[in-house]
Amino acid sequence: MIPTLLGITIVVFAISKIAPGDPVSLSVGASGQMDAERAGDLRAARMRLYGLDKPVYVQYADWLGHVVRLDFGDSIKHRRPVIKLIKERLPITLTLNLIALAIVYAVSLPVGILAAVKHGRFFDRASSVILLMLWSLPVMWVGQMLIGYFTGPTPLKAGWFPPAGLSSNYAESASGAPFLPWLADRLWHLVLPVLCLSYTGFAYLAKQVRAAMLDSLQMDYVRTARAKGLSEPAVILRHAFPNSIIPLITIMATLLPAMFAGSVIIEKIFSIPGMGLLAFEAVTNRDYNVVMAVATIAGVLNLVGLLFGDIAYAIADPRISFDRPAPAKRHAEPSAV
Amino acid sequence: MSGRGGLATFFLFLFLSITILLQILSIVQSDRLYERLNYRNPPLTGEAISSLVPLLRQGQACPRKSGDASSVVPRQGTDEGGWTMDVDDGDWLIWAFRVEPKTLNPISAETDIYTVWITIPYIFEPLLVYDYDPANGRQLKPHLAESYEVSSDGSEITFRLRNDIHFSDGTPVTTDDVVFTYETIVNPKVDAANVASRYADVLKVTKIDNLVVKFSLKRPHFRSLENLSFTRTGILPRHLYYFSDPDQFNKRVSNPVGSGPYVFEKWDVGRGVVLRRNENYWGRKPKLSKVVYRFIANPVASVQALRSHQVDIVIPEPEQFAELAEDGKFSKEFYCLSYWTPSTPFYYIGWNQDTPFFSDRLVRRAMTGIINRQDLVAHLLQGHGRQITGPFYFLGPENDPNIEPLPYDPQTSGQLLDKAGWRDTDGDGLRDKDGVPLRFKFMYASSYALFERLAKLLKDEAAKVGVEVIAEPCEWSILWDRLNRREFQAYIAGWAGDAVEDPYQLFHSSQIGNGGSNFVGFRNPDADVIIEQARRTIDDDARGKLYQRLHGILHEEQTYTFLFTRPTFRLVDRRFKSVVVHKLGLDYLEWYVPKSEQRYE
Repeated sequence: MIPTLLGITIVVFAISKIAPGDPVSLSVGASGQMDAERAGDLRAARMRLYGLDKPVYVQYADWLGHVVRLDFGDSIKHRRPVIKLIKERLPITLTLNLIALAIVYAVSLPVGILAAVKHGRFFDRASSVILLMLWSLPVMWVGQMLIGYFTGPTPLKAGWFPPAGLSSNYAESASGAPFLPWLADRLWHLVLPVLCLSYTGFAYLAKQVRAAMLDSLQMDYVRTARAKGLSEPAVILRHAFPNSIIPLITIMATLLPAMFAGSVIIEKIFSIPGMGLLAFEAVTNRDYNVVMAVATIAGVLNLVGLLFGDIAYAIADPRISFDRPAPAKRHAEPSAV
Repeated sequence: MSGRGGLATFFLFLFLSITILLQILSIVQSDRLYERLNYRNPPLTGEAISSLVPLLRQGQACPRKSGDASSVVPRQGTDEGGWTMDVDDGDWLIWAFRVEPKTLNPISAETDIYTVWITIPYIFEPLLVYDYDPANGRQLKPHLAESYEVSSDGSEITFRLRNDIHFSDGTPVTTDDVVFTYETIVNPKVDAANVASRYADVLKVTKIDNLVVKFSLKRPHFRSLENLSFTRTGILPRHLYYFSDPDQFNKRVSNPVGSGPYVFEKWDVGRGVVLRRNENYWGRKPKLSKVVYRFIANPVASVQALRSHQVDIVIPEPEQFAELAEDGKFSKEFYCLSYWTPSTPFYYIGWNQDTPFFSDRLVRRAMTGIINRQDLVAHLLQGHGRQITGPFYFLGPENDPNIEPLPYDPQTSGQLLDKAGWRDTDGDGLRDKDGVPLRFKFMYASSYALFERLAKLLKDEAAKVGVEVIAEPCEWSILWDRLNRREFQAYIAGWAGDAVEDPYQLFHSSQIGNGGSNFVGFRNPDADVIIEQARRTIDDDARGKLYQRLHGILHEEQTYTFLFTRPTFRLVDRRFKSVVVHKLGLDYLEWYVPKSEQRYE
């Protein structure tokens, strides 16, 4: 894991330095009364102040030296420690993504199972077309449409949802407000962003569940269970389903990073002050320390997600173990044995 | 396939047809836009223009749209100071800002305009403030200073502070605070170099006593009085901001304390800044008890937030404004204000004069001739804009109103190119000279849809006269980097603020390269002399005359192709009364809400 993380940081660092533009020239001379004579000195002084005058490898070594002590440096734009900025924003993004992930599973599992059970029939086909349609709608466009039609009193006259932010005006969210109304307000603000973040995941996961379930349903043990005279729900949920969750774990590990990436767009559209918006602004402002910190933390989160996936395999499938060579391929279906 | 499967196929088919239909519709729409653009409107007659000018001079709303000027509620019960009296107290004003300021420290804010908008003069106050309704041009009037004196040669400026002023914590404002503010700004270790560049001419500052302070200058500069009034930063209280380590000052981004009519309450990072009325204010207190700045990055969402009464004032995109101002129902509930102020930005195309193409004035004039600027304003800006011929505010004394824009005339442009020696010698449809084809890259910031349309238009028009334009969209920070390195051929952008007021930065030949903003490489000895002379001319009228001459030179040379300028747009909830559009814009310190319409607290 550590070498992977190191690799990520090196690549991101290199890219951000290769990209044209730097935070100093963006701030120097953009306003008036700045003479060329002064601008040169100023630029040099500013570069020194931010440590950007050193060779790139020295900058990287400096950065790495600080990061191992968990010091991500200061943001050039915000003039505050990066770690503080992230502490304020990470919980927001995590909340958003975890809720969205929960919804993706809550919708896709039943749809996928039902589609497998009703294989080839109307529900199967209709659900697959609808989910495919959802999957192909671009998030940017859907977000704008949702804001346009479901917030504010026009054009559908629906002020159903708030157009931006995470909470209402300060009137309601003043300190000492009762917990329940506060929570309701928060959830109300989360509806549209979470919807936007989750709908593209439905198709992907539901298809996977359906495929895995179809395999399990043809297994001998399912036939045995049916022959035993178990009720159909019991056969499906207790016998077929648990044997088809391995691919779902794999997906969880890849879905979370994908959602994190999608979160950048969602947060920009809905003005949510999370990691995505921070990253977006940091990139356009060439705020190197923030870019690096976000990349590193996102990298860590993804690696941790993958690790959890691996651990979950071992729990879900006793045949998988990390101590000795696995008897079967990790992604093996039960039919492989 | 079974009968049920047919239904799903039907869905799929439906979906595909809808997608195709949408595609066709969007193609039709962009075609229509393009046609409208190419259709020439009869030009405005001189008569029509002259009837508009008085309206504009009054600082009235954009003339082409009805309903704006009349929507401004006349002031009620104002005393001679222009302040609203005997009206209801209370209620909040909630702004929607697109971008969160990086700091609330006006000195290290540097170029962050949002910091200035929030803090000046609401938290921090300058010595002199701009009169919102000056007789002509811009005028400073006493604020924290009760009087000021400029020596006859302009090299000494003395301020006398009022003796009844204090910061919000009750400490009196003295010249110690003024000296502290100045010394902090020019401290090389304080991260405020852009602000400090305004004070490069100051030789020394002398505290005469607690109320009188004198600045000595190396040489007079017409903006010295403004700069030394600290109009950009206000006066910071020394007893609260004093530092031993400059880094400590640089990192102080929040908790601003000043002498202004509002005090800082809180800053929820990512969400908003809240200001509360300063009940201890030394001057006349405003009526609104709180001012909130919310951060909504998405322009569509901010307008929706306005409509659902979550915010009260929005800075709309010009396209949004054009649409909403036409909407009768919307304007019943909200003021749709569009007005001109001297700091209005201008937009232009810059031609790099160190390229073989644009080193020749004839080529630059030819390029201007193929751009139909009048139609740009009429169609791309839906009339919410104005064609310009120079960099100065078109109602200001610096602008020469007699300069006529070069006409849109591709034929003449072709002849000019012939004359400049750019002819199609090899028969490939492209003009060339000495083996170099007339083909150049046109850069623009990709985040502006307007620029993209303009680039397409330029490409088409250029092709008609045998010139190839390669559109090159790029991110703003990349564009800025390329401009500073002067690695470009042509670009479109806008200038606002200081650069508009003092053309030194843009057009003086010393400002080519090295971080100067004369990206296009304009060199003209006459212009240099005028610019230098104007800087030392304190008298507004005399300086106006000089700048009019500069305007003439820039127009002759077509250093830039000056395109258009745009008014300022604001959408404001109508429950606010006394919303007056001044010559310098809106001043919410005079707004109020009748008790019956108040929404908060």
